[in-house]
Amino acid sequence: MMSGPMPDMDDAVAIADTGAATPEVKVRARNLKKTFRRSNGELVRAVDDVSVAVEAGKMLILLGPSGCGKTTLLRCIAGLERPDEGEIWANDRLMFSKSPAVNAPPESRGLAMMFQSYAVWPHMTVAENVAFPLVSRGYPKREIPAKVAAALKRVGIPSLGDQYPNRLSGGQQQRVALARSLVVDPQVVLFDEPLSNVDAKVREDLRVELVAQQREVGFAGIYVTHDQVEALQLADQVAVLREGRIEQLGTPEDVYCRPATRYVANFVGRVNEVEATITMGSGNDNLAAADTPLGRLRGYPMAPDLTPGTKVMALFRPECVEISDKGASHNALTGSLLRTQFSGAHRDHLLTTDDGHRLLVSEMGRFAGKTFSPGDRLTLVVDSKSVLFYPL
Amino acid sequence: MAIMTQHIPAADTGTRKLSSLLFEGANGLLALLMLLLVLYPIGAMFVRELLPDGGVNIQAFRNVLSSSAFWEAAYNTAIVLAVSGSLSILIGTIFAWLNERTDAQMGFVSKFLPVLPLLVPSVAMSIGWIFLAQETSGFLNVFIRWLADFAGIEMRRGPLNISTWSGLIFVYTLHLVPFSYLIVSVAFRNLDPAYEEAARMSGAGRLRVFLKISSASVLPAIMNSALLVTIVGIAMYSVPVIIGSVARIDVLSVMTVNLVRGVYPPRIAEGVVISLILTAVVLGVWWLQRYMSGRQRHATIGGKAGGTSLVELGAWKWVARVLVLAFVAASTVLPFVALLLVALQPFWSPAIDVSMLSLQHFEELFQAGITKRALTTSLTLGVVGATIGMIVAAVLMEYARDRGGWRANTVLGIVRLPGAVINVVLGVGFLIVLGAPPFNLQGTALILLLAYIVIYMPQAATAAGSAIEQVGGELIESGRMAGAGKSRVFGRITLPLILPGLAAGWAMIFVVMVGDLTASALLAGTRNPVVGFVILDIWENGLYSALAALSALISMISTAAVMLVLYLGRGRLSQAGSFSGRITN
Repeated sequence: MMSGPMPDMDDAVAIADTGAATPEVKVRARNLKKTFRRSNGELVRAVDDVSVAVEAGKMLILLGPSGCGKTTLLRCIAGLERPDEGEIWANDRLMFSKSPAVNAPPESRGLAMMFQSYAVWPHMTVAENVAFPLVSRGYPKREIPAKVAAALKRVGIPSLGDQYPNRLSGGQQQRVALARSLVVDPQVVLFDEPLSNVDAKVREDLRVELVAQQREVGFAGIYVTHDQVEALQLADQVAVLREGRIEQLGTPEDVYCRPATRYVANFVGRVNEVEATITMGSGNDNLAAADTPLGRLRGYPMAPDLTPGTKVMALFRPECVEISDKGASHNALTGSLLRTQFSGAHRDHLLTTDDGHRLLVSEMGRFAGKTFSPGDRLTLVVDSKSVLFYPL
Repeated sequence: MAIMTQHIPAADTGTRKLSSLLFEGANGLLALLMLLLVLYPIGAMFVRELLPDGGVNIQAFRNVLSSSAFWEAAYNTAIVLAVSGSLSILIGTIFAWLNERTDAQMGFVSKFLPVLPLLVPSVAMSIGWIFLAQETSGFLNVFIRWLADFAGIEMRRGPLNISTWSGLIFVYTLHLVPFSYLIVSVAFRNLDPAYEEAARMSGAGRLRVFLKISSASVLPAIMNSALLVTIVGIAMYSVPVIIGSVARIDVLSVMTVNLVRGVYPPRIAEGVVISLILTAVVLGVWWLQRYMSGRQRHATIGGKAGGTSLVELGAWKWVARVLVLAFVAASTVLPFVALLLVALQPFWSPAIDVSMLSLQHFEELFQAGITKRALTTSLTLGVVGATIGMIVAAVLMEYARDRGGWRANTVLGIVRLPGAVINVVLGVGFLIVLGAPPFNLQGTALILLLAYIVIYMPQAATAAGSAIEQVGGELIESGRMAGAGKSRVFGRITLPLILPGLAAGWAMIFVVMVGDLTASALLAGTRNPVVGFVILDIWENGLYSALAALSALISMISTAAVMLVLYLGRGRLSQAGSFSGRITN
């Protein structure tokens, strides 16, 4: 996962720029702003000058903690909230702009949406639920039963058409919602945390299902979640949001391996943080060096002006640390083991260094035979390419 | 952005704007009409009677404030309210806890038992208790004396006497319990059982959990119910006009009606002064409620729906169940049986001779001119009024949900406004403003219809609002995302889902309109008789059998209407989830 040279930093932001409009872009938001007033009068900038674009067949994930504005952004695109400023385009039509004043109602935007609460209508059978978008959008009556049957089959519940939703499990209800979203072969589908109400196992199945459906239908998707694992698995592009702004927009590899900020690094996955002082700016190999209380570290500077003497924070992920018996001149750390936690595919070691820093080391697979016990002194080597220096 | 320029057609269209403008305009007009119907009669009444010719009608204030009858009625109202209010809150809270949080609950039906009195017109319940506990001939007294005779105790009269302070307070309490029960039971239902379980795990016993955790957690709801009970109690007319008159205890609501319609020449200005005082008191209570609920917002509890873990009461379970059933008997079953017995007898007699029972008095209801006309008018008004009221309430509440913001708050304020003005005051306002030129509606069915709709709008709006609230935002939003416009989403999704709630609200409004006494006492006459008016007329003339027959009949009609709605809704209820239609003010 962590390999290859450091790419040009501009790559990550190129997608955020909405300048290059291509015919495949199915949905686009430009400079959206939305402010709420809390009941105590305080203004909250839920969406603060955000631009995103999604091409056909691609999935954009809006990732962030609760209250970061990701759902508000999605609902603005859906037409369920009215932005204060900005423009929204979908299916090559202008859906919202402040001037000229345009605000298309949700039903005429030609989007499909899946909701967190399933929102499967309890007074209609499964088949009636799935038929509803077809009827609303004026499909010929004769074609409807066949389309409904095909949609139910596609999501793996071909025999449930006559059931009422209250007889179904959460996972089945969410499959009904998926069928209802996809039955009109939409070009754009919006997902508002659709999997956070179902069990872990069902969630896994539905995620696989979703990717398969996207391959088949080829829709452009925008998917809101706070679950970073889900985000990395589903995304072509991930937008990490913080307080209404996009902190980073890039591929899953970008946001995981080259997080633009410490916030992104901490939100997407686990990370070790060590205070450091730059001793040598980046050379030909783009690597810089810094002194830390744990020893000298070489790694990539994540800002342009990290000259010697700059105080930075060095970050590296637990799985980029190797337990080694050989020392090294740099990127070598020692610590004593506090405890080990076995998690199946990997095991985590928590260490403490001599000056009290806590370090997390994650060992992937093939660790049979090697055992450690608390108190053992371990030597660690951190891959230079995985150490990132961020300005404080 | 060069490619996506303005020449690409926008999705918005002119026709959509026009239709949404019409929708907006129609809703605004409806809300304005409701506002006018509430404010204009009352405002015009106060101005006309208390500020005649630009000066304050000091004489009217002086007459009221210097009359000992007013102060006695005010004192009586305060005493009755304080005692019956406290009792009903205590009983309502205990019943709510028993039915929601303990294993004393008796299935689905038991949750509705404490609300049953609301399904029987309160005037019928009051008259039923006269027949049960009148000092010499009340059925209960005769039965108790018969039992006492076995024990060798001889009694000539009593032991119960409804024509007393305790009798009046007793019937007030029976009527008020459902109001506190409704509010507190909802709070208990929403109380996360984990709060109670955590207390048990921390070593607290059942009683301690009830006092320190359960009750404390629903304290805001108990305070709310106290204020609702106060308002309903001040507005109460049917119980004091029946029981209070035989007990010779006058209260303010009855006094107001008497001043306006019961004396000749009418002392309208004095009635309006008392109306002003009552309105001020109710507004004060409302302000207090807002102030307290604002302060206690943090104490309201969301959390998971309970029902999974109930507090086990052991043998006390049976005691609790007997208490709930005793309440149902006292508030509903016994009064109805008494009404039926008196109606079937040739004349009211404590000695029941089965061979003498006949349907004669019921038959007479349909023969006598005015009673038959009153029944027809009341039932028509009930059906038309409940239908219009629920449609208006549903449209306005859906508008409020859809738009949110200041529009929603305005609409909510308007539909709840009549609740801040008690029935008697609204009735007086309608009578002296809409009954007089240029409207001249006195003696018409229209003035009754308008008054009923306005008076019962807060209840209709609460029923419609809770039904709409239950549908949930995402169910409606997913309809819009599926390509349906507002009207289709309303017709295909919102309406079918809220229909059971609307039907329950309709039944409730029908019952209160058919059994209405307050507006009817003020606005009905021999030209536009309704059941409430005829009942008061017969009551004053002391024709007990006819009174019993009419009261029993409207009780049966009311119960039948509710049963019918529940029966028709049963299929939908099981699909669409839980039954809603709260009867709060």
